[in-house]
Amino acid sequence: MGPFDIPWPTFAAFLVVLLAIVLALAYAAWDRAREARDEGGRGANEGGDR
Amino acid sequence: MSVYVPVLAVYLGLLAFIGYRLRARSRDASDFAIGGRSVGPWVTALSFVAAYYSSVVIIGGGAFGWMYGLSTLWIGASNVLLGTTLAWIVLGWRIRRFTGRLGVMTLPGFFSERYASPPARIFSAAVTGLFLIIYNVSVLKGMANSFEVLMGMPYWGGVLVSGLVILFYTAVGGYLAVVLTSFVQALVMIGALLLLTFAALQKAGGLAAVAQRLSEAGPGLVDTPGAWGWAGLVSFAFIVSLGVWGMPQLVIRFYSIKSHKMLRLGLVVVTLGASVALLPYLTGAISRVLVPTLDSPDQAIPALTKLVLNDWGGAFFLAGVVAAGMSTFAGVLIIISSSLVRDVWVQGLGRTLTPAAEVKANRWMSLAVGVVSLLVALKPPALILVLTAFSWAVIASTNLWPLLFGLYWRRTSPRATLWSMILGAAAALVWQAASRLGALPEAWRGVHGFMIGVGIALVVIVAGTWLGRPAPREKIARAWGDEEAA
Repeated sequence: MGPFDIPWPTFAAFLVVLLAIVLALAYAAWDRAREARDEGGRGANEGGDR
Repeated sequence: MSVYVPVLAVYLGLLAFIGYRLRARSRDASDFAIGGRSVGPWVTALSFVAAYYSSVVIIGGGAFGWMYGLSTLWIGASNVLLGTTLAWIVLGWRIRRFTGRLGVMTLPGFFSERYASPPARIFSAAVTGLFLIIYNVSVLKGMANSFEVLMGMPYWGGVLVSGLVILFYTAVGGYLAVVLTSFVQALVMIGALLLLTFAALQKAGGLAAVAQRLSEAGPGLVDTPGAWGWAGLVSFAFIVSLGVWGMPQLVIRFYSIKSHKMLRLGLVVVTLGASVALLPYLTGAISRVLVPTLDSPDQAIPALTKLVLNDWGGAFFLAGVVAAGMSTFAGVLIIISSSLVRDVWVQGLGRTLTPAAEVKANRWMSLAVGVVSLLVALKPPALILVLTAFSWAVIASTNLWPLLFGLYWRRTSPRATLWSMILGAAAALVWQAASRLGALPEAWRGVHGFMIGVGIALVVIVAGTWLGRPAPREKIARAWGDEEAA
């Protein structure tokens, strides 16, 4: 039995949401570092194209 | 009742005001359909959440929680991880770059330009238009039911009040009004769900007490997969999570974001905002403990609201449910109108429109489609969530793989793409119809048509691409950009 008397296979749903938040933070940090490395500060975005 | 009227009047008035203030910001079709690709991360992220979670998810999700218990939390968890975080990582910036290079504003437009396939554009636009109207009817029904139960307003009154306000700000303000109102609506919806959840947990004596009382009522209400079974639970979790990857009203958010940096911040914001997906299912399960006897599971959340919140809290929660429905309805409305004007009228029939005329055509089209949805919703079909899942299955089976492969696999064959759309949509439709008619073997009845539709669509697009020819070289080079295509 997991926390709050909820079976682990059910409680794991909360952990998956936590995993998604960690994944989003980790990806954002990795992507930022990659952009800084690859672009060397010349500005990678294409915000003006339509 | 007396408290509900001023709260909703102020809220709906604010939304209409936002639409009115933004009326002059739509100077051409790009402004009307995708906000001129200039939307920031907070608005993009929270408007994605608002468009994703409609009143159907809140009311219907609560109904599932009431019926099947805590295992339904997995649906919310898959909404967050698969339907939001991974969708943003895998699709987000790639869609923004590709659609910018190709100069397209709609999903059917992307298929047309990426694959040089006008039939793919027409088929996708037709399926999307038809089934999104069905989806919109179910969204309106969900909102009107909430007005009915919480305020005592007649059903038709709920349809008209919510529908007419949305029509006003969408037709007048265009995409910018839709995303800005959705931003406000997401905040209201998240606040309302948190309020209801805390109040319900307090009333029930905490999460452990809820789990204890649910297990006494039946072990299937706390175990996974529990009373629903693996086939039903997994199918449904996939349709409402992976299905997002092919839903135009959600992927359009990626067309419009301003820059890569903003998409990164948006990813974190959207994941945090989307986490409220757990709450309708959790509150639904709590309502099984607090209101064990109901005429219909759809009454679980409204009944719980009446039990645990005072009038002000109830009015705020109703605003949250209405917010969820309105933002979804408006997002869908703008997709249908821009798709019909741009993909069918301008591109398909070869009509030339000035920028001002195209904006005007979009305004009239969104009004016309909205009125049709309103009229259909006044005499609505029965089960809200089933209908939603039905329309999602067909739309996602049509769009999901052509979009994903179009972004990642240069060789993807235009002909395989078209057949994948047609056979995927047909398989989802036939399977759902057979399921409704009881024509499927017992063991297969829990499997949703979405799984069959996307499964067949995947096989067709992969096999057809191996056997067929890719799109013209210049189309691929343009989509991938010069530096990548060289």
